[in-house]
Amino acid sequence: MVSRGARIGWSLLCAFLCLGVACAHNSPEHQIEALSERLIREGDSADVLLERAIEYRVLGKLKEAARDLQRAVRLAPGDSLVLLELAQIELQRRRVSEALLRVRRALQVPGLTTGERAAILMIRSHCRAAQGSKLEALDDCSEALRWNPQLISAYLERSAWQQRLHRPHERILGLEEGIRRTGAGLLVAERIEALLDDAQWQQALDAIEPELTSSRLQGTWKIRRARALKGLSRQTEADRDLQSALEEIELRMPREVKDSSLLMDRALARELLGQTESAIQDYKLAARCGGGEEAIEAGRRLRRTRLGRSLWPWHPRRATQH
Amino acid sequence: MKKNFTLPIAQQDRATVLKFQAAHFARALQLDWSYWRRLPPQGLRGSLDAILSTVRSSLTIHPARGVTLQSLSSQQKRYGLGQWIQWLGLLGVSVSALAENPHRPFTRLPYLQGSSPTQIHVLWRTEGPIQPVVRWGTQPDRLDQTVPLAAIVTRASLGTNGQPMIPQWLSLRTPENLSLPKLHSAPIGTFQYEAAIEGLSPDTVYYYGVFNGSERLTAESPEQRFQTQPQPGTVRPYRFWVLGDSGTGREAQLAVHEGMQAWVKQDGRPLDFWIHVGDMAYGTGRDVEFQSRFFESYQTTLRNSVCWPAMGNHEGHTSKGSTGIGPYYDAYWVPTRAESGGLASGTEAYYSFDHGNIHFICLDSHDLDRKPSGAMAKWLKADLEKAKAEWLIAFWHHPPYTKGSHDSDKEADLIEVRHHLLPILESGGVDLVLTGHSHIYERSMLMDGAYSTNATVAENFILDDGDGDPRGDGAYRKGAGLRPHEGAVQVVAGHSGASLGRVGTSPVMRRTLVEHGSLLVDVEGDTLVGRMINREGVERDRFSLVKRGAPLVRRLSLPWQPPEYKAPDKSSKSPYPPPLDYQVLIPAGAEWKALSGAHPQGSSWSRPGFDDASWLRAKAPFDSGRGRLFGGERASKEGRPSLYVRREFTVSQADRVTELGLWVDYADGIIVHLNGQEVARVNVGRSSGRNAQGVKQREDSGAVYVPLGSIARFLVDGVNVLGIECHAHSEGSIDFGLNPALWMED
Repeated sequence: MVSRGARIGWSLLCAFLCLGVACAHNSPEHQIEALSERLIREGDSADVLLERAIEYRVLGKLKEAARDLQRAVRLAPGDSLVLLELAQIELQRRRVSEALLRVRRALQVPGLTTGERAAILMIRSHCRAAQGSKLEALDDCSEALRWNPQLISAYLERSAWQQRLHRPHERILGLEEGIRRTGAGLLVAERIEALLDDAQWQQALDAIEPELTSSRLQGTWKIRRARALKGLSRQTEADRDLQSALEEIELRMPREVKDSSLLMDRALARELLGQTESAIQDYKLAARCGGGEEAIEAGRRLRRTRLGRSLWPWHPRRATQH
Repeated sequence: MKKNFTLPIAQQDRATVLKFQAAHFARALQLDWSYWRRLPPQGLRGSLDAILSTVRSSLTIHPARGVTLQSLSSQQKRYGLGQWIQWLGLLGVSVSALAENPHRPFTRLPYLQGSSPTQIHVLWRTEGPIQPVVRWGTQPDRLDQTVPLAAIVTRASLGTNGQPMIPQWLSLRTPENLSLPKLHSAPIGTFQYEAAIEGLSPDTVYYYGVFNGSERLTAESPEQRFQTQPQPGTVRPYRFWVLGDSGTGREAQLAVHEGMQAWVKQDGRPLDFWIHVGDMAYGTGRDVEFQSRFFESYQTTLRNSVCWPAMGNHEGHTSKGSTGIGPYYDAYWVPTRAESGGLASGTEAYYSFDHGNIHFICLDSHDLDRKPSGAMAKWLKADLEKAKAEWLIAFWHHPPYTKGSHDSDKEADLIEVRHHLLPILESGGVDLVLTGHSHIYERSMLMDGAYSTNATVAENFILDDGDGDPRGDGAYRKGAGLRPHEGAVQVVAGHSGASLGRVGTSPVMRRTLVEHGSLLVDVEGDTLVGRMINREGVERDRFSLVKRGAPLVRRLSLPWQPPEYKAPDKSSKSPYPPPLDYQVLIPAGAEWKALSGAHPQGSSWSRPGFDDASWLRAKAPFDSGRGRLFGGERASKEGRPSLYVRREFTVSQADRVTELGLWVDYADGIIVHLNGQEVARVNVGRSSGRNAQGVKQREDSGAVYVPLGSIARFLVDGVNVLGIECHAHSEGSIDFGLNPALWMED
């Protein structure tokens, strides 16, 4: 257990470490040097080790960061901050079981705030995801939201898991709850995506129109509308939207093609236009540029489609029900 | 005009303790802080006798009633408050902060937040609860409107079950108070009030006052005012101030604020609002640090203009974007539901707002996922889709391009910002990006598309390599409206208070200045002008963007190259600046227990309870200039001279102490101990006591400020012991000596 005094101590220690640095050199290398000197002079301290680990992480030296944090955990086994940081580092190093071990210990620390508990649960969700345990990852998102209903990223991640696990109604209800609680515009867009994925074409179209009208950049919204129109068998209008969206995307695409969000949009537009090969290439590129699981999965799905294993939209049978 | 100012005093030991609150004192004496920074203490040694004589003639001591300071002529005033404090110390008068809060019941004076064309928020804190009332009107002397009680949110810090607290605070733990939203990490007994003033007219000046029931708490002053935002899209001149990495509580921070105020005053157009790009409360963004290093530092600007904040890494030690909890989130009210325009973010970690024809986006670059698949980047993309203003300005803490005290080619946080967030912004038509973190002023050419994770290069990413100065190469040109990839200017403004640093030259930067200052931005119609105003209030850089027509965008394969940076041959470490407001816990010239010519056994000599009966009682300074150390004792006959001194001091609330430091003249090396633990070391290489090694000769002279580290671990409520060991670098050292005073940041 971390006493209040220890926490205050940690905060004040950081204040002085940082002040010292603020008044001399501020780069991570210099901070590491200063912190190392301090460790030699004053002996091991969990606070100083945590501080140095953060600097190592900034420099991408994950191994060194993990080593410091492991030392810090031995000194302060009940410090949730240290455990959380170590769990994140281990996850970055793809040492999932180690990360889960730290998460378990962090959850046992008494006196966690609801926000801290939610943050730890989201790390556990990422660990589960890395292990391929989709259901558990989803449950962790939901539990995190029970502790902190303002956590936008948790709503989005839960929505993604619900999509993968084919739980469209839960997904829509969950997002509507998020919109009520947070008012986040991002959840409004995600709800529309959920409606489209659930083939609720008309409802989606009704929700899209005002968003499209109020948008300066309309590419993404036109692609969404094209999906709805396609579902409603209004192919010509859908294609017009897609062409228009592609024109806007081309205008906005950086020279070096590094904007994964634009790549994802272009991939989807091309996919809907039946340009499968170029769409797959865009998904691949997006995945390389930070598009994450979403891009990887979309690429896989499209490759399966090319082999005739699946059809657009994702749930064709449900599509006919609406 | 002469002015008398009487201060209450008390007797303590043999010294008269003069109690006052530094800023209050300065105001009362009409002292200008800027004099203090222009005349550092070291520069005045030659005229010390004359100064002491002046101080003596200005002081009238009435032990029963107080101390009267009088007859401060303008010539005397120029020496500044800080110098006065030291002279008083030399006179045997120690100075400590006024125990009473001069702004009572406020513990945080009212400040403005979250404005829109029809709404603004007034926030303040008090010690204990009040009956909060906010009145407002269009005349300072006619506040004829009242904010409904339902529109005032009250949050409280009431401690936790079983936490030790004074009975006064214990009595506040009523069920009603405990049901209030919590203030995280504020001192127990703090109540924060957040009043939403609604139903206002756009672009209108109002005046406001805060009351406790019918008792007016704020002065009737035209300075207690605010101006609502204009309707979105309104074209008129706008001015905002940008600063970063300022929250040190040191003299440079104050000077930068004053420099900006002086420039604005001379120019005649006030600020509409301001932006802080993070690191506003060093070292860890604790509540007490916010109070002393942000709210008290900028009070004159906070009370009549809204500060829009971005979280820095130092605030990130105690506030978390993922949870929205911490002193940073307690301090600010920012729009989460598009109250000021933009797309609702649903979180205070990142947000957007409109001001006239400008759309602003604030991101949390510190502790949230920066990847395009993360919630923040997705929100950014969605917000950009909706933005319809003529100008688009984004701000956050970590710079995508810098070679100041940080290197954007090496640090993961900075590389991720560049690689993941900039493409989204530039394809959305961003015009200006404002960041901090790196303690330097850097301003780029007009540029686009440099997102590489490798070292940044300028070739083919610069669209205009001129200086952007309308008086020089001319303004940068872009097309009207928000257009993708027509270029943006990057400004690193981490030079507003913290010590400066530079590791190289970023090839995309047109102007790099290693000096303290801030940025003033004017937007008028299709023209934006940015000016770097330094701490002296002098314009040091100017650039302009003009968005008109549809100029041809071209990429320069061989753009202008900034001169290569040559690091100094020998790094010279500038002295650590002392805090502006402080109490003297051990004055200069105080009596210490001292040991010379021998070494104490072990480290217990600097712990409480050590039997120092055999040590000599002596007053500082301890000087060996004539071969004598003090009290007739000689330095060690064998080996180099050394001296050990110890003295007790008292601290009432150790957990509220932000900093302890020594104001000390010494030769050649010192090791400082607090309750038996080492907390500072200067010029001594390894080990301590008789085994101290590697003592370097001190190259400079005079008193310097030495902050004590790790005090949070070793400082305790009640009696503490400060121990200092001083070592000469050689046997024949003739300068050997020590003259310490202990300061506590107020």
